[in-house]
Amino acid sequence: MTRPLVLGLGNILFRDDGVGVRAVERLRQDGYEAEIINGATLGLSLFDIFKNNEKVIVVDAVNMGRDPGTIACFKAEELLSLPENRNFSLHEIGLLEVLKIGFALEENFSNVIIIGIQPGIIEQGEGLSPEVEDKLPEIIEVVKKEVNQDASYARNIKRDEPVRVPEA
Amino acid sequence: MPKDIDINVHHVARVEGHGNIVIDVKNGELKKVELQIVEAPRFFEAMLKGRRFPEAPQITSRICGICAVGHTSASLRGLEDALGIEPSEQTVLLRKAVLEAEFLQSHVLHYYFLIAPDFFNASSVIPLAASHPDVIKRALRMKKLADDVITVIAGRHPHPISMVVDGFTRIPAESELRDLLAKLKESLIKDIPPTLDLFASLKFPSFERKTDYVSLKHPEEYAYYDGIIYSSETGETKHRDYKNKVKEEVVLHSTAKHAKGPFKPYMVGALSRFNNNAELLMPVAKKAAKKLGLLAPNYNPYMISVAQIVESVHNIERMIYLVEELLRKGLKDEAIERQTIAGWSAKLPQIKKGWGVGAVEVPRGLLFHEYRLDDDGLIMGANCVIPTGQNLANIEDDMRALVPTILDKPKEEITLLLEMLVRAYDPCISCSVHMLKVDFV
Repeated sequence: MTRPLVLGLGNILFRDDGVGVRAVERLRQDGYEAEIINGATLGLSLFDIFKNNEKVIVVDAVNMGRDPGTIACFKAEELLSLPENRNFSLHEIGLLEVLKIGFALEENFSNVIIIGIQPGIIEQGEGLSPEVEDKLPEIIEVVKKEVNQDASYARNIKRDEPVRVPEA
Repeated sequence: MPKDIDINVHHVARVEGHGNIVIDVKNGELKKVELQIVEAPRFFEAMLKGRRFPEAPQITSRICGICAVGHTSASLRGLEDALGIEPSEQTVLLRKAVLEAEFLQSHVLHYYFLIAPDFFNASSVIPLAASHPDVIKRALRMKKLADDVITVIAGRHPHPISMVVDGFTRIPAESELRDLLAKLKESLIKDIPPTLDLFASLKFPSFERKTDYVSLKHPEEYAYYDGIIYSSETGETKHRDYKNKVKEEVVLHSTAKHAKGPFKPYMVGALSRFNNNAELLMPVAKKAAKKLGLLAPNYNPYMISVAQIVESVHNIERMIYLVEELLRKGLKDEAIERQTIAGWSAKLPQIKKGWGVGAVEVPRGLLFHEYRLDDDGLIMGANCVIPTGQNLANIEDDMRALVPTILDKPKEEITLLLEMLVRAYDPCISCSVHMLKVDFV
């Protein structure tokens, strides 16, 4: 099996939303050997990335209603219950919308695993919040273990309850 | 029958960016019609000031993730106009091909992902994908084809990396172009007929309001990359005189400037291009227009989406033609050095003080980039006039004409018809929002 693709997603101009991008940047700086893509705010193009790679590890901010910096891993199908962006447009197709379109087309994307990080601050601005910044080394360890096929590690990170959408 | 209607659609769905529709009818009389643009301004023009000119195409590409090739093209045309540079024939053929690809990509996504759900009672493309998987698979296949052309010619999708002043930093290999050619020909046979069958079966709302249709016009081709500014009402304007035709105006309810002609609002985009240039469409596209019931001139703004379908057929045919031309002439290795900051001191086209305008068609209409450069090639001033900004005043005029004719319908239906009208224009609000200063009352 070929080595997995590591894909960091998010908008670095919205503080912690960019944690996935910052994580893969760090991996690159460290000279980590893996195929790494800074996917930033890619939309529908994610569809082909998921379709054409044997395994994709997505690193992205996921609002789980937990403490900032909390790490949790998800299979693609576990995220489907989250509501998509109502104001659906091509600029606003994100990871979730692509996964949902995929499932509707019976592409179940079982090759995609999402390493989600709970953001602390999502507002216009640069730089991660201190809580999330402090977690970067741990996030990177999780990614590396996932790349090295030690799948049990990421999957066994304890989640004390199912993922839920926090009240607005 | 006198009637009070108060419509307030907060954040119109399935358009690019954030806009609200506000309609106020009292005693059957239309009091207020506004397409409010509430998105934050982007400040690109201010950002360009003091930058070295080769950075402009790279920076302005980021105005839009859908029309990135369009902004790059307008930027290059504007800079080359200022510097007095005439790119090679091969460069022009490659640029034309990659621009056609972006039209295909943008149009396919608009009519399949954002327009089609209205006709299938689907809230978005996600339920549509579940109920009509073949339709959405076809749309994704056509989008992928366009992406592939952009990746091969411009080096990257969505933001081009190899398109620079006076040429390309990498010339595609012949084998890559042959591969694209085969895929383009296959798509014309395999994907276009079912697309036309599907949309020919849909009934678009009927509404007519004649307006001023503005697009580029060229004697030999359906103009996208090159041509004179043409208005169906006032005739020709040279590209450098665009301000005689386009006046940008600040209105309080919009963070995007409104652009109007000297006398009245006008329309840009697929329907304007079709109305002004239909006789220059490629043959299959001409047949497609007939099949879809689109005849020039057409005064129904809901038919903009149909004009986009016709154009997408034309786009594939034109790409086939352009790629065949490139192969027939034989590819020349004209690759030039990169010109971004790192290459600044290296070989650059002649730097001189100047002023220039780039006018190109992009999927949503006519786009202008204007630059003033100083002796060192630094940008002293920049102006970008975006298609959606030019259409906003015209959309409001459409709504003013439409609302009184549909007052007898239930509020939900009026709202849907208004939303569909706004969507038909394929507005890219994110791109058009660029006002520098506004005082909100």
